[in-house]
Amino acid sequence: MKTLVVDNGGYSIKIGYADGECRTVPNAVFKSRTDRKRAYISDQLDELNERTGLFYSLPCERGYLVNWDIQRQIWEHLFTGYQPSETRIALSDPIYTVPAINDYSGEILFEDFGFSAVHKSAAPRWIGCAAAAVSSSNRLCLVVDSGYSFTHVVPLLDGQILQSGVLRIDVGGKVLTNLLKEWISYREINMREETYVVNECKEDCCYVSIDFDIDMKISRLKNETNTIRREYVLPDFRQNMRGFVRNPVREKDDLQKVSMNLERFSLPEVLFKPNDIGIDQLGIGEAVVESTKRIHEHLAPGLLQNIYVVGGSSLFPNFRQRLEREVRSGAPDLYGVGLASIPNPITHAWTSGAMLAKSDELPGGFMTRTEYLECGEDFMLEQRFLEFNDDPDYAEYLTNKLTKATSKSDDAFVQSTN
Amino acid sequence: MRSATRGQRDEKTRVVDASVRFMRQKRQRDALENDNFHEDPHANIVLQKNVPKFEEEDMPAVKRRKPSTPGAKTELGRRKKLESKLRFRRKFTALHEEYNQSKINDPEASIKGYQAYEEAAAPPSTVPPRKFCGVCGCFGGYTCIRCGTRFCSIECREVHNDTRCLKWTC
Ligand SMILES: [Zn+2]
Ligand SMILES: [Zn+2]
Repeated sequence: MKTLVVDNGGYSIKIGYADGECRTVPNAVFKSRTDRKRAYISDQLDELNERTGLFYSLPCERGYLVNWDIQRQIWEHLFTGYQPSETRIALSDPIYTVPAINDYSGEILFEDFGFSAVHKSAAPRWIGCAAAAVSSSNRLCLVVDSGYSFTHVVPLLDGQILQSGVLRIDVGGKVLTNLLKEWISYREINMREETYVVNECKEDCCYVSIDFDIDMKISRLKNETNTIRREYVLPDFRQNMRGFVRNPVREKDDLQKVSMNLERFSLPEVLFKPNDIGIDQLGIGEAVVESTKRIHEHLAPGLLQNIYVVGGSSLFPNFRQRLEREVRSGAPDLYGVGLASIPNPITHAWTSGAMLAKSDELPGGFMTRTEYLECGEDFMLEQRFLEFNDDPDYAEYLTNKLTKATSKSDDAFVQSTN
Repeated sequence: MRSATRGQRDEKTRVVDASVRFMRQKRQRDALENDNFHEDPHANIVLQKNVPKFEEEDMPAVKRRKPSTPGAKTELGRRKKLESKLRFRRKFTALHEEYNQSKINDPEASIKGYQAYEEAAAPPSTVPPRKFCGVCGCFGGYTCIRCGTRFCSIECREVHNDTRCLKWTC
């Protein structure tokens, strides 16, 4: 039986058979200002050339699925071509259940689409389980997921989320795009209705500063001595479907452009210093250190040595370097800091899920249609897909696991020194 | 700088108090969570038959799969119920706050982990925020005495006075 793996993100869906290719498509329905009759569902956006004044309808808000009718519409479109009745589906879920938000995914997947079995767990669990399955040196890992809605720091042991160390920073790609829209609109030209274009501008121009003060100084220089200033030429949707970056030119031309100077690095800076724009929270680097402090001290070194950086916002140039530097300076000197190399931060959760599906090691396994019809969604939530546990016995269980994990890594240490 | 304010004393000496400043900052922060800065361009076109409303137009004729189990009747009924549930849309923050309010006096709530969302919120940083010019984005060494916005130079102060100062407060 085939397994369809779906990493259902707030901005994009990563979808494909476990043994096949992964497609990344928007998790949104678009409407264009220019064409009021047509709505573009997810990848149908490819059929729209003039992506100006796009309006988004998103199933997720702050990373949680709240608009189920929109989500079903997108799934309906994407699941065409897969045979649900002969397919199991593995769907990513939020890290914790927010009880205020109803979860209709079971009902939709079983009753609307007729999947034969459903698996759900948080995307960081797929990453943690897959890492641990590859090598026992990865039993501990720390997932830093900087996505569209927010950024999460998630410590895991054997693919189990250590809840006390989970931290969320309310800054992700969306906040950055909105902020850039605001800056450009105030400083240059009104782009408040151009979310799509400004998002591309962000992706094309911005980078994470390694030395913020120096970059600030350079950005104040005039003419050629300013090595940061660029122009972003906006798409005209005739010759250029996407905008492009160029060095500032003296000669006048008719192209419409915005100047990108300190915006280039001040924007991603917000990920590392949210309180610069009034969001009173730790930055990513500080949050990683804080997370490991909240976990049993024996586990901190293992976590810091095995950091998995994923999510679209981690694609800014220098992101990993800056993160490593901040964690290095905030963590105790004795501990090593290591970032796992990840070929594609956007699809990594999907790839991990697909790997686990192929070897039948998805945490918690699948719930079959029969089980669902007998027990309903409650069974699915409470018995099989528990993400965290407040049971007092859990503490003891975890302590046992910890001692095993640390003694194992001690053994490994002894062996490697011999 | 003094000369700039002369002649317009009345308007320009109005000082915005801390609570208004706080509200303005909160509004700016909330705006960053918007999915669109502008509204659905066609949401107001409702009653024309040839231009269907956004949701209805796209709410697909959900392809009805033949119920495969003996409990077909109940399943169909359940699906209808589901359909109406799905159309019920609420803002995340509204749902969340409502739920928390309802649980505040519930002694069992604490063991259900419902506060996980709040508990996971990253705490404040110990490093104080830096100050940036509200106009150009440089480090801003000066503060507007009326609204509290930062600025870096006389030029930026002028721009601020002409464009944003106090306009944000209403
Ligand atoms: Zn300035
Ligand atoms: Zn002012």
